[in-house]
Amino acid sequence: MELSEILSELNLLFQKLLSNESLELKMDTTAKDVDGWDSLNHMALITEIEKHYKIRFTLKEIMKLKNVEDMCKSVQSKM
Amino acid sequence: MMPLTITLIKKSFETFQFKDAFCINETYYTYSYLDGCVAGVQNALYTYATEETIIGVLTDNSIETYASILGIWASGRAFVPLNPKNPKKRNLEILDETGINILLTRDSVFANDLSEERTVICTAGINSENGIDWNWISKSGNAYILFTSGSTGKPKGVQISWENLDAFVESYFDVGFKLDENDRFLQMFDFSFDGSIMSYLPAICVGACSFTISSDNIKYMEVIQVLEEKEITIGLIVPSVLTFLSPYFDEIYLEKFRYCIVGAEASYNSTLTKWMNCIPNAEVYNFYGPTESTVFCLYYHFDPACDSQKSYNGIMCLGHHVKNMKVFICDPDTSEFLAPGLKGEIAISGKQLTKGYINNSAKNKEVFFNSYNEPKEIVYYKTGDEGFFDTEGDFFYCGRIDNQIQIQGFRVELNEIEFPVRENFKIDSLVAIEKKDENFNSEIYLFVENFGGDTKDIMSLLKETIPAYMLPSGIINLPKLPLNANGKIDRNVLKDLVRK
Repeated sequence: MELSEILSELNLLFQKLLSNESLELKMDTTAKDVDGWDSLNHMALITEIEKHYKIRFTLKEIMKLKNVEDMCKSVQSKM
Repeated sequence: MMPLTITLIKKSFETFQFKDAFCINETYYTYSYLDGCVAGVQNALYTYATEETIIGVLTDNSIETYASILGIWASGRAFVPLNPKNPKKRNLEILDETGINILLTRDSVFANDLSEERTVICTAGINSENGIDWNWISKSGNAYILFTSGSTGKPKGVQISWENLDAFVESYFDVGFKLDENDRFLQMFDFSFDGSIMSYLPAICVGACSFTISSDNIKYMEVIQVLEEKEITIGLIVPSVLTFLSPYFDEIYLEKFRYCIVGAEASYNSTLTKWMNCIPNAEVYNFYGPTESTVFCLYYHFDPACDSQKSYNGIMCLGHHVKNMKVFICDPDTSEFLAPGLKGEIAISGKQLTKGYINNSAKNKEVFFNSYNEPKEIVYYKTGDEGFFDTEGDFFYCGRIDNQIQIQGFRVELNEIEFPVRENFKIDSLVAIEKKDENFNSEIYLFVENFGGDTKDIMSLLKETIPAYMLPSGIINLPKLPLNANGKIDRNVLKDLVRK
């Protein structure tokens, strides 16, 4: 799966979970760019991504996710 | 006479010059470097703040913020932290309430909205080769004023005096931690929450290094990263961090962690018991206390190996009083003291107790009371927490008596969320309620009755009025809010609704 495809799927997951339909994720988007992307929602987002792609992240992997691109690449590597 | 706290800080600066005092965003700062920054702040205050006793600090995760606090202290003044990310309106309320004329900030952009008629001192790279002048003038007056959520929509300023802070430092070291300059402290808190004081102040008192957490990133993720990579030995952690990490406990092993202190929220025995597998060499303590008690007034040493580990409804015991405080249970209405086993309101007294909220005599009359049962008249503070104590003198937490909740360690009066909405949109019937998920994390939902407009407008208003941690996760508009038998809004029905 292409990174751009994963990005648009993640965008939908984020929009739904953060109740923000106008949210547009970019590869370099980080938590501080997005309202409501805090610690608790971060874990909820990870859980949603895990469910959606039927994958599982370890804590070490989650710690390395610094922006949306890291998330997309990590998902890609697990597919 | 110099306060005990300042004596200890001074000694560390003199003894541990070449040791690290802070690690902030991967940069280490020695006591000697910090000494220069603090002296620089002191110089600036001597020049610009000749008459001022209360100084505002626009805080961020930087050495300048810590230097500002220490410089204000070393000049015999009190600091008031202001989070630049908080709405302007809230910060202006705090400035007006305290009459602050001088603001310290690392980045002058933080002061943009607040600088009218106030002097702003930029502390970026501030330094002086003269060293800190430790000529303390007087022990009277305040060390800091922290603002907590107030039910009338206006935050309340808790005044902590030097006597209060000294008593706290004495109580803290009396708990029995064996700490020295080689310990590594975790500092994960915002400056407006007094958990921050308990995180960096004892570190400085023993000449150790504090490792701070930036609020820009996914904070709880950074906490575990710092705990692991920096081999933290002692830290105060809010229980929500542990529930957040609990799915990954089997991947966590912190060998160097010696003292894990939990507090600021109810701690659950079940989570802590599992967490202890991750910290095989650590002792776990539960600290309890409102800001009014200068950080804490009760503590409990949790030992899962011991059969008598105590809890109530799964919530860890609060233990017994610290050295400089006394704790009681009283009748919430008559303020009469109650016997062991009887539930009532937790009331506290002692050297760590604040003298009251700044410029708020109405609230002071409501929550402070005098008792003549003692040989001398003593002032007590009613915490609003419900609890009881057993025959061994250990206290237990049962819940809140009023509408206050705890979110990520912050006290939130639900009325403070309702107030601006009621005022601005002229909605009479509305209520904010707390929802706890299966991991005991709290979320706020706001219910409004028959609102004609768009609920997004309500959210926009709240974003301009209250800090981010207070914002509701959802705003729900109902044609009619359910009422209970007394004709009051039935919070329980609404709680069931959000649970579904």
